[in-house]
Amino acid sequence: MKSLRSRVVTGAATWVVVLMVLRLVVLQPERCGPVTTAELRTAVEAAVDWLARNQLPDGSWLYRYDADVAEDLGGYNSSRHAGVTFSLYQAAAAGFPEALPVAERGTAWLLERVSPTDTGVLIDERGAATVPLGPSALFLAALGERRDLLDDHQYDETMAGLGRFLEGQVDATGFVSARWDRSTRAAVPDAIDVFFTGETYFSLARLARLFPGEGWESSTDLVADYIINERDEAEDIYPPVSDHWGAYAIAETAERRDLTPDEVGYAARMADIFGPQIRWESQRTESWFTRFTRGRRALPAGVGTLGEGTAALWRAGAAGATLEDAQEVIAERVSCVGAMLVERQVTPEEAALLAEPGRVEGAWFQFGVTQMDDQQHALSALLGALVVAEDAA
Amino acid sequence: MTAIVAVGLLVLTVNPPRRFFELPRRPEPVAGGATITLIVLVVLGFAAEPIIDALDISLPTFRIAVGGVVAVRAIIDLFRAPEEALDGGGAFVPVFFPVLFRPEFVLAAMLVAVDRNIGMMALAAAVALAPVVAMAALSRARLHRPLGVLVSGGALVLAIDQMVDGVLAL
Repeated sequence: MKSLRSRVVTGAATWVVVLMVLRLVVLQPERCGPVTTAELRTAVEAAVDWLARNQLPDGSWLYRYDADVAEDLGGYNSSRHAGVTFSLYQAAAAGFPEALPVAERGTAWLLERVSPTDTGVLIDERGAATVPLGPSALFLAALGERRDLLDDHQYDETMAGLGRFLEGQVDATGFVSARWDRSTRAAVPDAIDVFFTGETYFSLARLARLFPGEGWESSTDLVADYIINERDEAEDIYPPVSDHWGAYAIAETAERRDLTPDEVGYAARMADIFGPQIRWESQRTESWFTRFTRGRRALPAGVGTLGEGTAALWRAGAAGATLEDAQEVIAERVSCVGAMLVERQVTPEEAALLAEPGRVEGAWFQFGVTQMDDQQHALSALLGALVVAEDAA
Repeated sequence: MTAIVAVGLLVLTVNPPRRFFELPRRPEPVAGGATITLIVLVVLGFAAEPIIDALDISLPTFRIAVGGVVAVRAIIDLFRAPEEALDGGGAFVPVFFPVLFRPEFVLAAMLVAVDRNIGMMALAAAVALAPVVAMAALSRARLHRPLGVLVSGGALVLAIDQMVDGVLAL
């Protein structure tokens, strides 16, 4: 039988072990700021500057760059081009006018690639047998951002054409084919892409808001119903897609009308997907210990999408959607992403130590490499965090 | 966390039938120790949120941690026989410490305080400690051992529920 003394010692030791294990393994600090609006604005300006400096004369951008060896790694992707253009219009709309001419050059590059289909227009990727849907969907979203910003209707017909093309990719169940076949001039059956469906949902929802009564609502609702109720099972997706574009669509819809219970449920589901990822990511540092216990830091683009998605849900809440009284927590998560991105962005001082500072300053890297969509998603997430911070202020 | 879950979590975490074996069979020191425990829990309940903030932890992450600690203790208790009570000692030692002031109970109480409020935590803790005091008046334990195992099983279920809640929460 143990003595009283040994029981006390065992009890005390249990406390010490429990607290140590908890702190080291489970309760690692979530590095979420605080971040000020001034810091967020500075980070946005630096990101926009990077996109301005690294835009080529034809309107495209430096795609992928290795800072460790100062090498342009080449490659290009029209979806990401359209996405960057979208983010720059967002920045211009948020009070960063220097982003507008950069976005306009990006738009010019895309307009050169607009090509007719039997029902509308798409962004063509020349030489490929099948054309991906993503660039068209995101260009439509970007033009919508531009229309909101400038109240300029000159691309309304292009937007409608892109919308009709997207609708042609949607089947009767709401499934969105990710590719268009040049030879059959029709959607490729069963072509799945994890993000294009959400992009289509967002773009159609945007059309429904911008052009009420022109018939975009039904296709938007069809895709919404598919995404909310069928997609994960039909496309054999597990875990569920962390779909920031779907969240954008929810925000867009919330600005147009009250969300349905299904849509509110989907928004809550997305919040519950973004939240844990943000908490987990915020516990990661460059130290060997957190790499061992939490894994390496995520791609900057990935971190950005978490912020974008969560910020979109916050906007939906601000527009009156009821997300189970989660608005305050959502705001915390958006700010957390903003703080992470501010902390991880390359500063002028850090850039000055490298061979080509202009290709590094204001960007986000993983393993010494940055890609244009790292700036795209990080920029959009920072803008979301800025809106939340300004609202709180 | 509903009020029922809050009360259930603390009752199952304290596991009164199991504590019966570890405490003196004298109601006075047990009542004294339970009172001290309750007072300390209330103090820690007030401090819980500032502590969590100071450690840069979110509520869902704390919930995962509490669920983990409760689960580990419940699993151990499912397989290990309770320790026998020692002669001597009083309300502070061994009743308050080490028997009642134990990590899983304190952390669970702090979780209830943050998730609900201090009042709910104090009520739930009082409900959890009351049977501990009542049982100290009993001289024999007929069903306490299987009941303790049953309670540990219940604690494990609630712990898993809290962990899942924490993982999936925004």
